[in-house]
Amino acid sequence: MIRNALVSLTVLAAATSPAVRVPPGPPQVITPPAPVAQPVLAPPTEPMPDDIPSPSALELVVTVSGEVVDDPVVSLPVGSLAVITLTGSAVTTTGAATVALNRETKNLDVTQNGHHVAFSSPSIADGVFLFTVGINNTDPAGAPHIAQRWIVTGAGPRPPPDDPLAPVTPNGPVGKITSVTYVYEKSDTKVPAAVQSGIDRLNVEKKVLATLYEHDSKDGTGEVPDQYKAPLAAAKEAGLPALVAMSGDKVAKVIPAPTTVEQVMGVVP
Amino acid sequence: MNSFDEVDPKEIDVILPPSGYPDELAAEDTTDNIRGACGDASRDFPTALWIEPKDWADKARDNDKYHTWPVNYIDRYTNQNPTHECTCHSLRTNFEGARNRQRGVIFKDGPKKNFRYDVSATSGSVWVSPLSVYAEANPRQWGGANVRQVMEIACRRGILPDKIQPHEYGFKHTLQGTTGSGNSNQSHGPWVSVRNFPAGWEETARHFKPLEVIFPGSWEEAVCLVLNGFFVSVGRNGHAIPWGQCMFSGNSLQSIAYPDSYDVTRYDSLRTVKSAWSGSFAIATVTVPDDWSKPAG
Repeated sequence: MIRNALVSLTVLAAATSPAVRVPPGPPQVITPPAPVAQPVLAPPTEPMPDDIPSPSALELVVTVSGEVVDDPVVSLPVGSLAVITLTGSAVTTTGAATVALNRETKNLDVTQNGHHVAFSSPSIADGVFLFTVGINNTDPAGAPHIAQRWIVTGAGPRPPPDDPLAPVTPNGPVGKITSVTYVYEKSDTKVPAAVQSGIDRLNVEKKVLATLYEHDSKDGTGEVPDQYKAPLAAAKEAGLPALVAMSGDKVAKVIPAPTTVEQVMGVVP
Repeated sequence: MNSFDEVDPKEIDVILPPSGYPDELAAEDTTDNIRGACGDASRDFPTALWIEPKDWADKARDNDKYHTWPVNYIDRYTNQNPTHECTCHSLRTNFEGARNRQRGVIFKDGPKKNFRYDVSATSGSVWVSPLSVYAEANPRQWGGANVRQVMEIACRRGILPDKIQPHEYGFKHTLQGTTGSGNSNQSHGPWVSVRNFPAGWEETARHFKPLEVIFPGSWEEAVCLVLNGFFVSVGRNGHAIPWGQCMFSGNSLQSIAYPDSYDVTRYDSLRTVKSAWSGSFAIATVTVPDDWSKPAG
């Protein structure tokens, strides 16, 4: 095992074009459409340098056109290439990291010789994305290691949160969590079994009303159910899927694209 | 039940006496006809739900670990014996599974004969009446109904709750679940025509309606739906049932288990799955209440 093993991912900003749905099949290297000529993605052939400081268990180092970007919000002009490197003691030579780019979630295999791009996504046009990496804690009782960076591609808007490295808590301090909702779009999301299990455990173990809400669902009168209006709005702002914890009628916490039982259970202290 | 357990060969590809899905009705259940019956609720198979066949066994292990098979989202069997209500019993399983999946409650052992989960009472689980659909699909009572008929009815006006519920919800309108045997979790009673339903029954039934129904385009997509936690209702060999758990030998899919409307779990072999999937459907979402403790408002 090599401490602080480095893994690189590449995220390519495409020319502005409508997002296209990738058909089922093996993950594909992202290749943007014409007319803007773009480099073809390929894994690095040499190991990344190991002198990047990594005081915490998991960090993301982002370079754009070879320059390290320290800004929590990474601006990615059309045609440029961002390399996202995972560093930290949680990154080992073998094992898996879960990568989420908004709604796209795939498992990333960490290998000794570099990286394996294991996800396919729609063409990245103007927009704002939350790039999240999660690695399970080797301590079963410990929380997973999660690192996030905002990425603004093309002419996309700045993201609303001032601190993109923390789950969104738009209303500040709130009281006891009274309900939790996983809001998703059925056609875009394969709800992780772990999330479904976490929701069930919140119901049974923490006696909190925890449910799943498909964003198009209505009640018997054809309206958005009252209990889901606020969670739906908060989830849409964060990007689907999202886990929204409510304290009464106030949004207490929003977790984008959770994938583990611990992430779901963790919203209720 | 673990999906890698051995299954009782006597319960594989069981062919029953006529139970309500005769050939002449089955012939009308083309995918196009059923999709038309669902109207705006009809959906193509979402590509996001695709799972490569080489990954099916791993997904099955995931479902075993987290109890996220379709059968883990229902808390009861029903019993139609000796009626011809099978398509409506298959529909109720599909509906209740979709509703409980949205509610976020898991029944770790699936349905069990003569058993009631404590959590059913506290989770807002609602048991719907197959008879409330069948009575309109076949006013003559005997002879069965096809999927096109029952889906059109359910998507148009919804399903009434059963008279037996795991919790007292104060429903204004309920109906016996079946004119067959029923069980401790399903009421039974005499035949009733639609005109003799409780006055104003539509106001309650509309709260229990399928909203989105997925139609797989291949047997593999049907398997993917089951792997993702969606019941897939199919008609074959004169009987309609809901596929609810994939069964493996090593990494190879061997059969699919279904909770049959006779208080028992049975299995369709892979050969049957490959021949029976056409015309199948999975209810993806159903109407959601403003308050889960008051399911009909």
